[in-house]
Amino acid sequence: MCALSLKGLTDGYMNAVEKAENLDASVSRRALFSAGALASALMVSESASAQEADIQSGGGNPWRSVENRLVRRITMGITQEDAATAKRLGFSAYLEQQLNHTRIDDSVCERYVASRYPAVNASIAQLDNMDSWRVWQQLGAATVYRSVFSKRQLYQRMVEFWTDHFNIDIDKVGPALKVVDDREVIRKYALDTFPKLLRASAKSTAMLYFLDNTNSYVGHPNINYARELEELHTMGVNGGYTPRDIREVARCFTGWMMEWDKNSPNYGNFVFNEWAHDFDEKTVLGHRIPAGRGIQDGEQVLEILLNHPSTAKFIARKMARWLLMYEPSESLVNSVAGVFTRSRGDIKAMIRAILTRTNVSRQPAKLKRPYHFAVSALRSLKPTVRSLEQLHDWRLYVLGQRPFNWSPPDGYPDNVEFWVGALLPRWNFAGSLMNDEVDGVQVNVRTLFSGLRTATQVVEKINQMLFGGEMPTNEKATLTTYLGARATDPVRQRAAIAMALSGPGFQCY
Amino acid sequence: MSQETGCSEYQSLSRRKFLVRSAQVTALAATLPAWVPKVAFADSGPARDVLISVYLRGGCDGLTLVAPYADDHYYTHRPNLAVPRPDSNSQYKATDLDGFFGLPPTMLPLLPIYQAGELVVVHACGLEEATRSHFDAQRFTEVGKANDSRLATGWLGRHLASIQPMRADALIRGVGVDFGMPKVLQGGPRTLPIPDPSWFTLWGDWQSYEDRKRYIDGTYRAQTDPIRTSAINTLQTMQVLSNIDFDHYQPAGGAQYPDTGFGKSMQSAAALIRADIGVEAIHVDIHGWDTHSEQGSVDGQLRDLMADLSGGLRAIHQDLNGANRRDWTLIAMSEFGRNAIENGSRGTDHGFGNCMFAMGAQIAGGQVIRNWPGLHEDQLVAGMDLGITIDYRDVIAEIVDKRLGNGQGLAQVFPGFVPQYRGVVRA
Repeated sequence: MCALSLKGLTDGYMNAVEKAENLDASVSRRALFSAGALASALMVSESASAQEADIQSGGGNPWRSVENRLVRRITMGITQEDAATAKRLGFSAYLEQQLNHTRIDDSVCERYVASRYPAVNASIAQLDNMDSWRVWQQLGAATVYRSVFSKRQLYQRMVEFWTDHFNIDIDKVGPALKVVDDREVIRKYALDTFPKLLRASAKSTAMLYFLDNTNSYVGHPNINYARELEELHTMGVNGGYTPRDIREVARCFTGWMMEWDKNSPNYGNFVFNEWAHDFDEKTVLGHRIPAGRGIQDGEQVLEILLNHPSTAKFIARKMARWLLMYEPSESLVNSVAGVFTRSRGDIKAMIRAILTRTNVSRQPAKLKRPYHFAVSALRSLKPTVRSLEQLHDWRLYVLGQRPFNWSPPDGYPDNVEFWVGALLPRWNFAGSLMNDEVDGVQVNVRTLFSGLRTATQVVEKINQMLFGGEMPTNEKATLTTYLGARATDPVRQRAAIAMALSGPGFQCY
Repeated sequence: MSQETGCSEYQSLSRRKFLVRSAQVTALAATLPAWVPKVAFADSGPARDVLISVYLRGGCDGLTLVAPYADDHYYTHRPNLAVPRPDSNSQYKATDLDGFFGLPPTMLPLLPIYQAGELVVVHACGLEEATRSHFDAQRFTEVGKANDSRLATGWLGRHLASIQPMRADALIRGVGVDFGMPKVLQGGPRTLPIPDPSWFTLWGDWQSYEDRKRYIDGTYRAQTDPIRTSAINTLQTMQVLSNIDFDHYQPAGGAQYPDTGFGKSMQSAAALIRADIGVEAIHVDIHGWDTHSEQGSVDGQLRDLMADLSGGLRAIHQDLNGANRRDWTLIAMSEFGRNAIENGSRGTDHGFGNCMFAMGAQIAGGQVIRNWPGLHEDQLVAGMDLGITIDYRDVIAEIVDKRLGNGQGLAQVFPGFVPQYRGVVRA
């Protein structure tokens, strides 16, 4: 049902071992048939190439409604209301509604965030006077709150995407600088254009500090930012730059620093320090950067990188992977890269090119990452939220994906192979949530199931809330059996939701 | 509950009563708890070591960790960062290992193990594919082959997949002490990411514990891989680990683990080994080695990182030895070394040759194995890096063959590679 296969874990070694260990060698085939009740159930393939072909042909997606598939792709988790809205508006109108995020009134969410988590709207000077642990907690909790309650769901998904793309480890830079980066870079341009994002990120003190550019002086350029700017932010590792290009880019960015002087009105913000800049001539990717200029050197490098065809392809592939499928076809990548080039990096235009009705109707399922999983549970169940601190500080830590906590510069992985082994933390989140152990978050079972009498009714309600009406048949049947004649018992009802959240269907989108 | 004191190694561990009950309910033969005497387990084949694999993420500076103080050019290239010679008056001076290399002060916890002949350093070693990308270099070294997109699993995962389990009834063979599966272990049968073994039980309401487990078991069994196998492994491992009281784990031999994430992970590794449940490969990451700025030799970022590393290795050595466990080998490596020539930020940038470590009772310790390429500028790779004269796979392959008993599987562990053994394991 949930065709989360990948080369690495389905290659011949696993089969050899299963035989060696005397396991039932036919299990995978039996599984295929037992899941066959779902029209789109996957095919198990033995070889990597066959698997890819299978993914390309769109096998392995349990979700039939193309509108629901779109909802799953552009939200942090489908809800009954999302499914209804998408059905009412239709595919294109729903996508357009989410793309035009500024026209969606999100004032309720933002008012709550502003009053509850003031740190996210504070200036760097104010943040500097706040307890940094509280700043950290407010930024994290506000991030979760927005993911769950914002009506601008596609926007939140893209905030998550760019947060990973321009990853900054909060443990290295401290929460104050990341608050500013989150607000003035990531959230400001998440659905705007890639050039604006990149230019803002290059002047983000959090980024410059994270990648040591605040330590880069004429004669002693630090190449850390220059390398990741090319490898991770724009061209990709095989994008065609050389070690010499990295050194030259580093020279261009000497002097791009942070104002450390507490008495300066610019304290904590970006500053170009002429005294630290290398004014000699440089050559970057064949382009001559003339001597004698200043901040224009780095700015010109950004334009060179933005205009490089490798950047268009790298961003196109990564966005298609995020929004559509793990291994997008070359033709899709090329066409989205074309949109990138023609639209000068317009993110919305790229999303439209990726999320066509045809593409979405052929997409295979993806595995939710742990953050997505936890947020989607909350979105579906609409719990009473009094505080998100424990959820953020502890629960997301245990799940392995607390925001801003990935220490290398590449961001949390968007793949199956890293995450698929970590199922227990998800089952435990479900169990804890439904046992009222997640502090400040209470799922109101009596309200959710009010008036429902039979197991079938309760399971159907779960189906609508958690699965947009497409709960896998076997999970539905198993849950109905479990509830049996005790469908009104709140203990069973809670356990039933925990089960539904733990099951394989809820792990994919 | 008389088995509670069955195994002398685990006298200090007590079980949680509720878990005992749940184990009784399910009554699976597979849930044999850790205190059942060893004779109850079926060994499959000759005794072999458990492997502990430590990865220093970020590219550690091998020229500080094991400093080549006798190469004069070291001090030319490292005016601010070199570890002072052993004969200097500096309180931060190196401690000599073999007349050529020395350990900086915060690596000294490793000295007694080196002197006892159970720690070997291999220097000017690494991944011969020239890449300065962390992510490529990590992937290549974890996969065990560079630039082969057909090979997506890790060498340690393929080791487990190409050899019979160390114990036929083992339900969990490979553990990544992490929140997700490290590349190196991918493809391993009965292998899971377990960030903290003391958490490895089903949380939530106890009345529905068995029902929830049954629901999970039933629904995931109807799936295909990899999620199906992942769920089955998780449920089975839960049965094993939840019977062990990791919260009250007592290190043996007076071991004191550093109060850090790495220290905790090393303690988890030791606990998993001492629990005797058939785990035969454990991988632990230690982050933060990408020291582009203020790395120091004695007072910068590296000071604490090295203290953490050496403290963790020393503690697990004491702990396992103190528990009379000699059947393990540890390796520690990184994706690449750092430039021999320091940068202008009192740091170093991504380089090439590096050192790696192997530790264990059967390791030919007390020496720094190398074919030193020299640090003279003419000898540096690309004018700035320590060369590589020993492939990292030479070191690992010898251990896989001689300590992990998988000489026949080497073609799968390191496809297309013919290792040259360097005498890392005692003859």
